[in-house]
Amino acid sequence: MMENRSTRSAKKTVTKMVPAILTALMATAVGFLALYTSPVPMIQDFGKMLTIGMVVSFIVGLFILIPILFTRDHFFIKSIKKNGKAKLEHSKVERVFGTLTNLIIKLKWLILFIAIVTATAGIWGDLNTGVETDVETFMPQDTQELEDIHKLRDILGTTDQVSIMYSTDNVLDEETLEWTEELTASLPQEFPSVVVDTNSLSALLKQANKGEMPDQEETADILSDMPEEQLKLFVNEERDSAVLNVGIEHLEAEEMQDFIAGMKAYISKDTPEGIDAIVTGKSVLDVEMVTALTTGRYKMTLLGMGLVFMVLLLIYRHPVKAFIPLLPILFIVGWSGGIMYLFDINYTPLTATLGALIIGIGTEFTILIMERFYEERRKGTERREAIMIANQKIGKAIFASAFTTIGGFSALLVSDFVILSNFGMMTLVNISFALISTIIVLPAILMLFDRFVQIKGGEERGSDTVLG
Amino acid sequence: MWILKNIANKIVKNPIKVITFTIVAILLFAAGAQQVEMATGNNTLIEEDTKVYQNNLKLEQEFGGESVIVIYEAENESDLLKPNTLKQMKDLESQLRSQDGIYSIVGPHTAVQNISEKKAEKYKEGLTEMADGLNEMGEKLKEISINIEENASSQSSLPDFESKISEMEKGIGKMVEGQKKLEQGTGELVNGYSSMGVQLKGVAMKLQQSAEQMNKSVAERPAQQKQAVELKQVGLKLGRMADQMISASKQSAQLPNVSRKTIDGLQGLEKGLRGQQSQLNNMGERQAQKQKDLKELADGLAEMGENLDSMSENLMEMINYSDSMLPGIPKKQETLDQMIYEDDGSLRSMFDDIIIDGRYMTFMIKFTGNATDANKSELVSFVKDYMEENSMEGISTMVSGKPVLDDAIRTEMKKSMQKMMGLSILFMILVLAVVFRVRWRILPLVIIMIAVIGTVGLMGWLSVPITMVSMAVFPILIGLGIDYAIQFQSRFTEEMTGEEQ
Repeated sequence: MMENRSTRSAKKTVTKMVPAILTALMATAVGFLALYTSPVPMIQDFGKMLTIGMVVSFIVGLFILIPILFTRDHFFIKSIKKNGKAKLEHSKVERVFGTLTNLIIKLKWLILFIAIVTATAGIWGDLNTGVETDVETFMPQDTQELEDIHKLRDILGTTDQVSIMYSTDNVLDEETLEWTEELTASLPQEFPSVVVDTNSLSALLKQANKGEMPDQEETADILSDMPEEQLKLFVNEERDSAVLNVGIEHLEAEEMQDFIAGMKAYISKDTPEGIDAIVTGKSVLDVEMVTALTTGRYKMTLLGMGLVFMVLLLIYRHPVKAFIPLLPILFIVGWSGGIMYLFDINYTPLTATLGALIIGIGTEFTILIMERFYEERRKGTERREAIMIANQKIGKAIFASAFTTIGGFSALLVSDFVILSNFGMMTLVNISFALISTIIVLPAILMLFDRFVQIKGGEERGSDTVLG
Repeated sequence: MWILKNIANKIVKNPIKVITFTIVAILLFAAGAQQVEMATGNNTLIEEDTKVYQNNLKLEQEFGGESVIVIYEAENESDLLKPNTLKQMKDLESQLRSQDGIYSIVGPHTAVQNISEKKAEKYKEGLTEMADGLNEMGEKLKEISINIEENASSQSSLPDFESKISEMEKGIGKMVEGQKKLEQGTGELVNGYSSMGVQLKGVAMKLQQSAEQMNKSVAERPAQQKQAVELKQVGLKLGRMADQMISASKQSAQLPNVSRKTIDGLQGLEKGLRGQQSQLNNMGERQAQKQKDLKELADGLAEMGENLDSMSENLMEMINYSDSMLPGIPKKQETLDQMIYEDDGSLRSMFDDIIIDGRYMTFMIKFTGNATDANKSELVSFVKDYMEENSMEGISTMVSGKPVLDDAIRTEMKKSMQKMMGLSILFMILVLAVVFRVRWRILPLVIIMIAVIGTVGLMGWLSVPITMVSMAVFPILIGLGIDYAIQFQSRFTEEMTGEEQ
């Protein structure tokens, strides 16, 4: 008897759970595809890692976990009594879920209304959420190195710089040097609040020539007298490319972007023909990365949801059914943004990936509940009953996995890295939202939208659903 | 559907086989873990084919990347610019030269070294000119002696000494020029100067000897006696000069003064020669000299000429082969001060960017564009250690700059992550124990650990690097992955305990 049962259980787990989890896996993987569209390679790599991780977890779960459980119950049955005891406990939990589900079904319109209103407000708030891009605010503030760099900034006046690299036939000819000198002198005047100092070949020459610009012959003399180590910081060996360093204040990404744009415009305005000048440097690179990361987040989230929808449409061949799991996700995105706004948490490069993660975590939950709901419906269970069972059975597992994940992430909270603890906090909040959305809002949605699915979905699957 | 049934059947029939097979597969994946690289460079921040990336790449290739800055702090300027501080910097620089990823190292020692090199060049030029001058003088002396000899035999009037002697004067003029350059070029060139002094001393002795000889041979002729006396005086002057040079080399700081004195000495020599010229002229006027006397004079002058020649040769050899010419950081504060301060006592303008507020001094190490994070970390800790080991009294140092901060972030982050991974697993065990009410409730965590190993390995095979982001949010992988295991186990348990259908 037991033998049969474990065999049947294993078979049932495989045939029933694998399609549901596989669907969730595909939806999640597709949601992560949005990460691949990020202009930042490390986010793409993060997306790839998650996708690989999901697939491997699925394989390991299917081919190691299930056989282990089966082997345990098939060959080494311990006691059935324990099961009975566990069952008692289970039913207690299930009763709670039952009451809850009943309540949800009663208040479905109200729930949906509140969800929509709060999510909309959240998205609005999210649009006003700031972006934090200063790496120095991410780390523990009492780090010695951080104090050092602040001191260094006090001493030198600047620790950040952008470089204007220019190239022409000969950077030492009169015209180019004149332009260099002019630019070196005018930049601090043009951008007084940002530019702290400028340093260039012309400044170096003037310094060596008692503050005067030397003529061509003197220039050659001065340069030949200058230490190579110092000279190569400003001009290359071929003398056809040189650099003008601009020491700037420590800026936030947005101000920095404005400044760079302003400087580009200023330089292109009066660069003589034949000189090719570009504004570059690590700061420019960093700012480009950070802005790409934080401003692209909506595009990324929307694209992710779009892709998930496409995949679900392909699997279910029913627009409403494909849309149902996404609706709660939309709510979570809104709520998450609202929380960031309310608690004044700024977006960092890490939290900017939250959209994709919400899709990843959320779709799995919603798809599993929905799948179970339709599994029950196909068995002929009535709508209300189906929701009850889905919530009870899957909800329990979802609770377990959500709490486990929360447990895992709460470790991030204690990190002394602000960026990590903020991220951990937001993940906790989002998983909680995913839970609420799945357990409370999704049943309401299912109750309301089921009628649209039944007409087609029911027939298509050829199941024995009873029209409610 | 048949695939699922097939899988289910396989699992039920041969569970152990399936497990073994999967574990072997995971182990195969895991082998790839060795190839997983940790990427933190610019190419993890921005796509390589973008203009922004390419521009920055070009900049870093041509002009280096980020820089580490060491700050030396002291109460006042004079505490900073000391020979031992500069020496400490120079030693650090030479030790860093062997490390990878360094583009340029600039500090006050660079400027001082440069000054020192320039001075050495001047010095070398000066010595060469002196050698030339000596050589010329020697040649002329020899020519004069030949002429005298010829004239002595032909009994005719004295030849054109005037031009010869004025050419000799030119030679001396060259020596004076050379000495002037030596004056500008004083550095740590003591040894060279001292050996030249010794040589000059030798010449002077010879000169005195030949004067003595002349004196004897022309004892009865007052005019020539006078000439001999003057020659002797010239010799004495040269001798004094040589003494001064030798003693100067013992106290290098006074070198410039000595050079000045040497110039005076040489100019005196010039005058002496002029006197001699007039003497010779007198001799020519009187035409009363004996052949023998002249011959002796000629011999004496010829010897002197040869001596000067060989001295010049020796000097040339010394210039070409001497290691003692290698310039360096001065050892004496006075010499250093002379290099770094203008005549009015203000710091030379080339130190403007290096000395700040008269209290701070900067030493900059600029990385090459392709320096790896490992290069940077290694260098930062090396410099920090060096600063600690070679600390100087009255000066506090600080190693900072963007790469130092980034390095701190990276190491701290890694440390923090390790701590959190452990904590994370602990929390999950606790939560599973409480929330997941089935038998073997920790099993999903074990399963996910196997999956993590497989994932990291597979990333190696697929050459997906681990970045700062993926490392920071690694718990997400665990969090997402564990869901599947929990769902499977939950459903299985449900089927096992649920009512019979």
